[in-house]
Amino acid sequence: MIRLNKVSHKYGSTEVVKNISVTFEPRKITVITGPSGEGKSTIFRIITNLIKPTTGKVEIDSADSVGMVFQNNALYPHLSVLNNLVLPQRVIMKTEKKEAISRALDTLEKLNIIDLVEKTISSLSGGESQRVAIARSVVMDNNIILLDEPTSALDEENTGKLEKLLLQLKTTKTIIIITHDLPFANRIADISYQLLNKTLTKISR
Amino acid sequence: MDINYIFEILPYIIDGFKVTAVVFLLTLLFSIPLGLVISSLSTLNYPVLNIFITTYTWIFRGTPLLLQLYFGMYGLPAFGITLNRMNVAILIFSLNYGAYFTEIFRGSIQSISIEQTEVSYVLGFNKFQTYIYIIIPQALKRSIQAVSNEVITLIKDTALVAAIALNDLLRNAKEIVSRDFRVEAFFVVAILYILLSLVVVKSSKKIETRFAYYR
Repeated sequence: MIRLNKVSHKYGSTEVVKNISVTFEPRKITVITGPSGEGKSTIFRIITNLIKPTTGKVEIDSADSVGMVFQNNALYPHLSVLNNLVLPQRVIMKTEKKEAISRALDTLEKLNIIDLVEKTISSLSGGESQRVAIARSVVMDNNIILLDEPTSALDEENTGKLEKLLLQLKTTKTIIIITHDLPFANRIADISYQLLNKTLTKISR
Repeated sequence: MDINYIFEILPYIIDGFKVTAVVFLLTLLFSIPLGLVISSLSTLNYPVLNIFITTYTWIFRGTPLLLQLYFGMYGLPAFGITLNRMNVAILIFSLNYGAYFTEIFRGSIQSISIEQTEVSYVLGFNKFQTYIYIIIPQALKRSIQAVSNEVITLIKDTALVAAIALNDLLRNAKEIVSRDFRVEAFFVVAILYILLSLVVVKSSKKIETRFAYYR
């Protein structure tokens, strides 16, 4: 479970988000929409502890771990697809090499991207590298996955693939998406919020 | 060209080549890690430390290497530090090239996008792990070209050690030319310098190809 409690954030004297209280529900896809420049990304940066909220608190259950898929996917270009999934396990989770490789292969298999395993990062298309970034988060056992503008670089076909993948993942995970792609949001969201005037408003459907 | 004459002078030229090779190899051995460590420290952004680092690279890049060699040879003893000629050469060359490598590595490290660091933190890497596993490998790749240029310059700069009376490749050749009034020795050393550069160019191309699979 992940909860934001009266979270506000200021850059200098500019308030970006104000007094946000929200609980994100497990096994649901929550979508946050809103115009760009409204501080949607700031919410993710606060949840992932990249920045500290000026006031308020982020509460995440100790059993939960948060992963984030960046807008441009931020894969490691010096590593193969396989090693993008293996290195974090080896370094952070201290997983044995054999075990890390087999978990990586399992994950790629499950997400239907096993054919990418030998590829270099620079040879991946936008949709492919996004699915690899999601796989990296899955292999790290993140049960809360944040996606920042996941459709911004995708064509229709790849957006379809992404939607299918997200529906598959939500059976076990909490998924939070920020996007300004309203048709996508409408198709995929279980719960929708709009970030407007620095604060989150739930949209009833 | 008299082949017998060349064989006659070759041993003395080879003696010089050994000195050049030792200065060259030991300078690389010390200056590249030195540059890597100092550039890494500079990214920690400690203001006082950065003043020291900037001053270091400023002085060593801003004054002639020859002057630095003279200082090591004739200036240090005034402060009670006396080293033999070879040690002076290696110390000064390593500090001088370390300063250049510091700036090269610093530039490459800063050129790696901030998202590489952020995504690593989110995945759970700590600062040190991010640095070792993510930033440094990418930064090193971006430095290959600039480093190999410096290494080629280093080959030629080694000739400066003659100024502190070390019998390097060029100095030995010049002694032969002065003694015999024949210029073949110069051609022989020119070929040796070019061969050494060729080795550096070929190796750096090889390394570049090896890492060409990403931008």
